[in-house]
Amino acid sequence: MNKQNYSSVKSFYEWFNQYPLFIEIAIVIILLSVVLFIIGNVSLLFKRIFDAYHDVRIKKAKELVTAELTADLMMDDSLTDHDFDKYAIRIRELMLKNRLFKQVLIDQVIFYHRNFTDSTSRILQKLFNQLNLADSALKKLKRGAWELRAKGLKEIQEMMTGESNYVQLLNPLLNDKNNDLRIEAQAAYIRLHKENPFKFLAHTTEELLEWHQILLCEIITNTPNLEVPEFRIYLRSKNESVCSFCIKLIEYYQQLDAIPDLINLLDHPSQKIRAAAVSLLGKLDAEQAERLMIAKFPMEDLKIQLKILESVGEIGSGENLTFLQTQFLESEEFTLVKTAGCALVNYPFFDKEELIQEVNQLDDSPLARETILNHCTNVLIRN
Amino acid sequence: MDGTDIATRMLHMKNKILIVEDEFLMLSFLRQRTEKENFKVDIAIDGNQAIECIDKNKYDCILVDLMLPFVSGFELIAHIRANKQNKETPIIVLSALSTESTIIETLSIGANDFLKKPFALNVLLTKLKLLIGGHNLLRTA
Repeated sequence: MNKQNYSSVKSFYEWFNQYPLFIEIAIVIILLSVVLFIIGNVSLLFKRIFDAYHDVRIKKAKELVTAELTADLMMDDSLTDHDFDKYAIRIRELMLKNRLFKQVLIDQVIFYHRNFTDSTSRILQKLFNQLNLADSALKKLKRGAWELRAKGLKEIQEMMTGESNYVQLLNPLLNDKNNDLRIEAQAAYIRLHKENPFKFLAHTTEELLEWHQILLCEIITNTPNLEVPEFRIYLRSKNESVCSFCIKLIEYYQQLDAIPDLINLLDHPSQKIRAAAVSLLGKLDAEQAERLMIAKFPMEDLKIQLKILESVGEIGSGENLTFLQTQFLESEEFTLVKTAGCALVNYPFFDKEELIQEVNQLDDSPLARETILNHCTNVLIRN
Repeated sequence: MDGTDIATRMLHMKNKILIVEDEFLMLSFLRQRTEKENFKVDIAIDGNQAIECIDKNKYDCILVDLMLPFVSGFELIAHIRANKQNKETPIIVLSALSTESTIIETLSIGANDFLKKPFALNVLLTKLKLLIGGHNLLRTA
């Protein structure tokens, strides 16, 4: 048999050698391509078979879990402790029999817990605790793949709210380079930390992206009984995004005590922070900030100048009518004139006719200030 | 027919409801739970299926999620109110979208009640019974 094999290899070699080199190379490439094509297709076939088998198993596990949870456990309002224990034992047995069952169970418990309150939610929480499903979530935090760690964090957020003992496990993930993992860790921190849910802001070195801030705001506003700190303490953060986030939260919670710290931000090196601070000072009616904002006006760029005009108009103390009128009459920049005009409209002691007279005394202005003022005072136009 | 007669009739009558929800788990649970309360339940997993059901059947109450594929919950409510046989059917909206403007908008286009997710199941069942009860009383009066 071996001799036969040897002779067939030898004859193939002789056949192969009779061709010139470039034909030999072409034959090798063709053979390699055919082999790779076959290997590729066979592996694809196996993968599809495996996936289909996995999907069938997942589907069965889902049906089983749904039946266990909805047909029995969540359906019965008058469930006694004894009945509950019996269910829990049965579910534990199923978990031991089928490895997929556990993860599917966790997913469904979390899903229903997120959608229902009251007795349904309490039963699910009790089941989660009794089956020690928290262990599975905590184990995921130690896994290598970020997707698994993020999933673990999601489970912790939903089912372990207020359990401060686990907060330290989150610390290494709070500044992770992966955006998704970081946001999940921060969200979990807010929901777990009872005393100071925003303490992580003091140590956040990575950027809080805009979408990240939106998600955190959603968590903050949807978490009941959240201990809200004075966000002004984080305004000194070296992380610009933390500062910007806290300005938004100060506005949301209308924390007037933050006004002195917001005034300090008028010297912040970042234009974005300065603009946000000026804008918020206006919204908080911070009269004490007016003088400083006006003093800084000539040194600032156009974007901040516009914000200052808006804020001075919004504060409306009545002490800076001349400042606004001067900007309206003397600025050569259209947006400044328009913003000053809009700020003047509701300003105390503002006399439109008097200002129009002053406008008419000016030399021919290409900016048509009277038209701009009429535009600003037209109540049908939203400026 | 006096009030006691109406109440007795309502007790033995199987009220027909439609649940429109795109989350299958939620849909199947709500179906089982409402069937346990003696309702006859139809389900729809998207807006198009819901429109088909609404055009073919008359319901005693419709539960609608706002975020639906193909046809949004808002459009569906408008469709129900324009439908001849279901224009007076009570509608309960179940949604995680619960800003003041969303609630005002859904109620102003014709929904009868709004339940913010997460909600208590017993509250939903009570609202369902009350709305159907009130609606039936009005119909029989």
